[in-house]
Amino acid sequence: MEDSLRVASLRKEEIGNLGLAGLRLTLRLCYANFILYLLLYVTGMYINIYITGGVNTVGISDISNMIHMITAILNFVFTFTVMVVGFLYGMRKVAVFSLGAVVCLVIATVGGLVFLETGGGRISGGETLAGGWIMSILFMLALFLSYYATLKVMRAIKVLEVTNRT
Amino acid sequence: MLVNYYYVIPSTLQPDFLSIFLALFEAPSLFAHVAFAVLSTSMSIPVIVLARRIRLTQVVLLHAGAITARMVGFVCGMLFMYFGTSSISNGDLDNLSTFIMASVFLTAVILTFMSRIFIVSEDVRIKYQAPVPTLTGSR
Repeated sequence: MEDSLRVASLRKEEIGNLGLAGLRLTLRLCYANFILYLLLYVTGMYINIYITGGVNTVGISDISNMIHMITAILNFVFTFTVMVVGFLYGMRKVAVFSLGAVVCLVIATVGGLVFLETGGGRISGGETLAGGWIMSILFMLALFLSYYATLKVMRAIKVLEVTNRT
Repeated sequence: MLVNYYYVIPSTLQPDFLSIFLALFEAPSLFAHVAFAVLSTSMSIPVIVLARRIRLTQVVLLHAGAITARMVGFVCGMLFMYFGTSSISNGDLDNLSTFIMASVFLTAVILTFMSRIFIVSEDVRIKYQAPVPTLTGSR
């Protein structure tokens, strides 16, 4: 009775066919992605508060902006990889959450470029502020979506570990 | 973020606790921001109560840490307004308090995220390792 109930619950789990070792590797990639998100947030906040806080503007070639943009590119690469893994190895939720994060990252990048190209400062006008606002909110949304994808990967690992599968 | 990009501290704001506290209710964007911070902090309380019931110490500690981080963020938010008033107008401390506020709010988000790791682990453990209760209630 207990076993049949557990088998029924196991069928509902989204384990995929990547295997335990592959899932652990994907989880490490997700953790690395979180560190990048953290760096992205800190550099963004630094630019926001210390550079564009007053009347100054930020340019595309400024070192802090370069770090911010490189971090965003790496974020995109890592999230895209997790999405592809999700699609290829039968983890639908991981794929869908990561796809959402990828779309958010792309639109956020466009918002960031609008911010830079229309002046790059607080007093550069409504378009600049709108670009910055879209960038900030979508990067945050991407973080949330990546987090849910990570939780699904982690759950699959825990299920495999507990049920002694590889 | 809306506050970050669009809110400007009123020039008439006085550098005392009551004036700053009342200013939180004046601008709709700022009020919404504070209301969401209070709401997310209060939502940690039922999580702590439930986690204590099933002895998930890590979850209790992580949410207690998140509440503490948000309270530090609240103090820094008030300081941001204090240093931004026209009579004080200290740009360096204003920036520093904003940066600390943003960082500790992110810390709170990370701590609540981390708590889900332990909740998922416990959920899987209960589902696949603990005895399944039967309809008669016996185990």
